[in-house]
Amino acid sequence: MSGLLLRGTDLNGLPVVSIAAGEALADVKDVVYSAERGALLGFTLNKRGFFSGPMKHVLAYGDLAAIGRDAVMVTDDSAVTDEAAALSAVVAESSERDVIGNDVLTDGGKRLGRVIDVVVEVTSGDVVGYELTGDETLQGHAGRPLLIPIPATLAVSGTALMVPASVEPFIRDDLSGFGAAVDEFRGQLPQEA
Amino acid sequence: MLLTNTLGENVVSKSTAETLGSVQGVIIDAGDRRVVAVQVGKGRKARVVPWGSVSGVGSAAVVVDDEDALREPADGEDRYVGGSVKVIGALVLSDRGNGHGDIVDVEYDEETGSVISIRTGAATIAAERLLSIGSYAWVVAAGDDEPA
Repeated sequence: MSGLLLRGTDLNGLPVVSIAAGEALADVKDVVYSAERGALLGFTLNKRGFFSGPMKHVLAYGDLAAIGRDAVMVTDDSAVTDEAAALSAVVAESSERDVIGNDVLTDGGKRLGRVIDVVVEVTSGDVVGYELTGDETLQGHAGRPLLIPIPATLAVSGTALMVPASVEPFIRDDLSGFGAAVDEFRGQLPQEA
Repeated sequence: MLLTNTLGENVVSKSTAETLGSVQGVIIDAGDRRVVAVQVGKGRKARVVPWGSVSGVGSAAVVVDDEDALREPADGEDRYVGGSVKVIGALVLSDRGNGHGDIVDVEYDEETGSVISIRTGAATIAAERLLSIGSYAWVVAAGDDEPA
């Protein structure tokens, strides 16, 4: 995990800026991702400024130039176009399976908590972990976030997520050391066929 | 020359030695990385002088050929004159989406108008990295020190 890690909610409200023109084209309304694939699919958008409100337009992950701390960058305004049928279908599918609010269970039958946010590695668009509220005994420090790494793919039912019980030692309370925890956690998993 | 030293200077006609107004801003072409015009006066009375009609930029004045060099802002220039595109105070954003602070000064070559560097509170950014200038931000190529 060499790239920048950000929470999904950190991306909400970021401006979408054209590299070619230096203009803000929209604001990020919501992050759209696939829990099954563990990947960012794109963003729904809001208009900017006084007449702000939802836009019909969506932004596909593949059309992004970069995601930074302060803005989502696109090459030019062609990335923000009329709703592409393919992506809107993806948006619909993924919103039926929103993982926020889902319970996280280990394959040992233990409940770790409830998902309140996703952690995205911005270079790859991979969802590498979740932030939970829940079992406080798993936390290093009271009141800190509960960050769990997730495998590259995982079972999602719409109400619960299943993670390996081996995740427990890799739970962190700070994003700054979380990338290494994801690497170590994924490194010790049995290789998928 | 630093832009903050030029701003506010009197604009003087070479042919009559009359003061025509004062420098209220500059218009910069992001592609050429060059000052292409100087804004004289503000509001509805704002006029621009193309760089080609500027005969000298010194510590005391900006000298222009004559009063006829002043013209109405053209398309594109009106965004600067109207204030929707800022120079001093504009946000600098890298093409990786990270902010580098607001522009406090621009260093330029007073002979050619070429922009040399952009200065923010946090950094001095070489003009070669400039990618675009818009009403939201000046976009620059990310530095080597920026996370990928």
